[in-house]
Amino acid sequence: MANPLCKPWEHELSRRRFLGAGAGAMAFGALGGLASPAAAEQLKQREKQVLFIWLDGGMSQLESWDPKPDTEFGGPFRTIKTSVPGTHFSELLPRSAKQAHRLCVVRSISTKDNSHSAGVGRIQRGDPKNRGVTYPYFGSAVAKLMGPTASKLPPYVWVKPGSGGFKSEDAGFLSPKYGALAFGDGKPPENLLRHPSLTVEEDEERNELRALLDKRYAAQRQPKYTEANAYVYDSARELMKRADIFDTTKLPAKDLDRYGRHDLGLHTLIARNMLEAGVRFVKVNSYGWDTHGDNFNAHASLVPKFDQAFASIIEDLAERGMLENVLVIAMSEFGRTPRINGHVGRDHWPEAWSIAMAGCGLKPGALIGETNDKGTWVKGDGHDIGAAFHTWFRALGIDPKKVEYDNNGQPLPIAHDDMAPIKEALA
Amino acid sequence: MNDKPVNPPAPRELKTFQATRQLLSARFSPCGKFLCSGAMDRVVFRWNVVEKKPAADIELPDEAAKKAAPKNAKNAPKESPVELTPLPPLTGFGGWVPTVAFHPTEKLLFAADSWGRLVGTEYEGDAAKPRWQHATAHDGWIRRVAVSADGKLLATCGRDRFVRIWNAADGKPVAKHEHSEDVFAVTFTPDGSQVVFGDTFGKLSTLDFKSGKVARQFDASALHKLSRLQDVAGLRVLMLLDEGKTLVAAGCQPKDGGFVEGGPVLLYFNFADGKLLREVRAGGEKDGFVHDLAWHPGGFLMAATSGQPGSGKLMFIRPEDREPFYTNSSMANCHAVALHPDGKRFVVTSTNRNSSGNGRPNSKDGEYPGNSSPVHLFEIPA
Repeated sequence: MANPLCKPWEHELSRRRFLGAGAGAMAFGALGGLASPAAAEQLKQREKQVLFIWLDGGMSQLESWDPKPDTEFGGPFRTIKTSVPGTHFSELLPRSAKQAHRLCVVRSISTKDNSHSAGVGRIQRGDPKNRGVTYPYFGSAVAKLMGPTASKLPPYVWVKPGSGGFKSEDAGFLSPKYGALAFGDGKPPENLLRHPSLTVEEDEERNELRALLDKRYAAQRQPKYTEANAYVYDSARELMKRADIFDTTKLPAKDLDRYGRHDLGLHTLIARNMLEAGVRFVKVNSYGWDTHGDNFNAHASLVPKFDQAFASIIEDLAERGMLENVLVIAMSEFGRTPRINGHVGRDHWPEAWSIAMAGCGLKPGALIGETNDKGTWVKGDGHDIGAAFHTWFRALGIDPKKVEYDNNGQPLPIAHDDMAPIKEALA
Repeated sequence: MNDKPVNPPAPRELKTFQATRQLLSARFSPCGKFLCSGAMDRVVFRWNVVEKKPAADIELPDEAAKKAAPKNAKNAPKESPVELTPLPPLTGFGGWVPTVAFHPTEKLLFAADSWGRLVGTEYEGDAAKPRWQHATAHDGWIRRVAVSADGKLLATCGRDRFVRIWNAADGKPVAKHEHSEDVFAVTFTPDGSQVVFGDTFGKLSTLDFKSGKVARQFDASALHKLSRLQDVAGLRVLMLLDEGKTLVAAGCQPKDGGFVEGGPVLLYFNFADGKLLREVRAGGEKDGFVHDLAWHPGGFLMAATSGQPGSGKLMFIRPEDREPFYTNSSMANCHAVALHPDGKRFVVTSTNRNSSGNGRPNSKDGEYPGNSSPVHLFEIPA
């Protein structure tokens, strides 16, 4: 008769990968790495959350939030009215247009990198001044600064196409435990859940054994190296108790239709479940936005799918009263060139592009900044990503002028120290 | 007995003209005196085709001039026997004008834009006027206009998923069909009783628009790929050959979204039973799309292709062959090919070199440059 119990090596890849990311870490307590314990305690009280929708490759601002119809670079699409008088979006965003009164759109983002390799990291780390350390991605920063909510669920979850597991690299100089727990293709890391052949009691016994071995291991090493391991493991166990939040078989058909029966729709719907369950920071990735070729047919396919998912989650968060506490951000690493190349595509354009945000005290219905008639440059002062980071931290109740990271005694600002929030965005 | 058709000599470029915007389509009028071209910027460019010398008297350049000439004009005569003299463009469009077509006998041009406007217009003279127009013939992007062989009907298709049939003379609607997906191409059967249309997913269908029935379907799904979130639509052109016996669907077999890597491809179907006869790849994976086709009475297709910036080809290929018998790779990103009614001259619209680049492009005067379209005028020697 076959042994019904799973073999240790069957758990090896994903669980060890998931748990092992914390091993050897330079660990701090959830908030212990902050320079000011008082500020840390204050932050701990708050249950603000973040939904970060990352459109990898570069969504075209001209085919979305900042259309320039009937101009040299305007492209083939029309504009449509939104729920905010005088504000128009591309016709590819019909449902988001109806949510415009809840959105805060910045059309004057102007950043530095026009390559993906530098741009993705630079943007998601907030492009602070170079101090010889690798800064954390925004999700890791929030996980560090705010920790898990009262739900005790992992503070930084990433729902993405492709591979999952624990992505410690997002944490930068912070402890790896602030990395992202990635749900590849919307699924939890393999073997995260208790194997059906194990009873609850058996699983508890295994955990007791693990704790004992951890203790023995820790006794011979500095605690900081084992803290991260334990932290990640405990988070995983909390997640195991809430398998319902990522059980896609129970998602209502009506919601699937509203969000869209595609990766981005499904993953955004899972994100809604996670936010409802209390995950602090959920990142949803969509890939394939680097439309150097056939940009307009590509955006005609991509943007309406984004529109479905984005408008649905804004609607749902608003209806549930969650938008007051959930900061929603939809963005890429840059926009796309006004100039249309010979392959009928648009290339990378960090000079003047747009970010859509909502919730958490950001000014609803705001349209901030302006590009010139052709959409080539920002009129007046542009806003770099550092200003966006200041704005987001402020919305989350974190004052970047007062809160600092403590990198083994080295105080480090949490956002670019020469920049300030986008005032018009803060209500 | 060898009955293989004799291929014509390689065409030579007579002259390159410049359009100030990127061109998406081009057609000669049936009289051969006008060339019209839909552009990205709300206009239809027009040129008078002016003959300066009879074709037989073309003087070829001397050897020194040949060496000095650009690569794609190495066989160009010293002085082009034909000039394209610009006329004021036709205006009143919105967005892009991706498609134009001429009435076969009347002085009437049909043009459609990406905002849904369809126009039947005069095209001669400085102040050509629309004879009829619909501001919202479709809800948004009209992708293709086709005219029936007898000139009585017009077919349009678009992003709104509709195929519509119009009376060509006065623009009155004749029939409409709502499809399930974005419709990229449409063409009439030779007898004008049906149209064939194709969608995002490469599903080709025949529509008997009098009964409203979709009769047959052809599987051109090789022209579609779901790449991550993007449905990459490869279909660009539908054309019926051999008096309607063979349907050719041309475009790109996409390998990826975003950059849209993929190779130009021609799918030949037996129109009677829908069977795929041949799949002909006409280039590498960076060569992109067949954007336009013209049928030459010498029994071959003229295909304009455009892929990664800088790549582009003009190809002559016989329907029975798997390889083109002529390929010209000297032009960048070709989007249209138009054959003059004399069967000797034709134009290819391309895109200027160095049309792509991330971030702020370098320009001498500090201005942000747009791209434009060279219009290459060729002649097939006798």
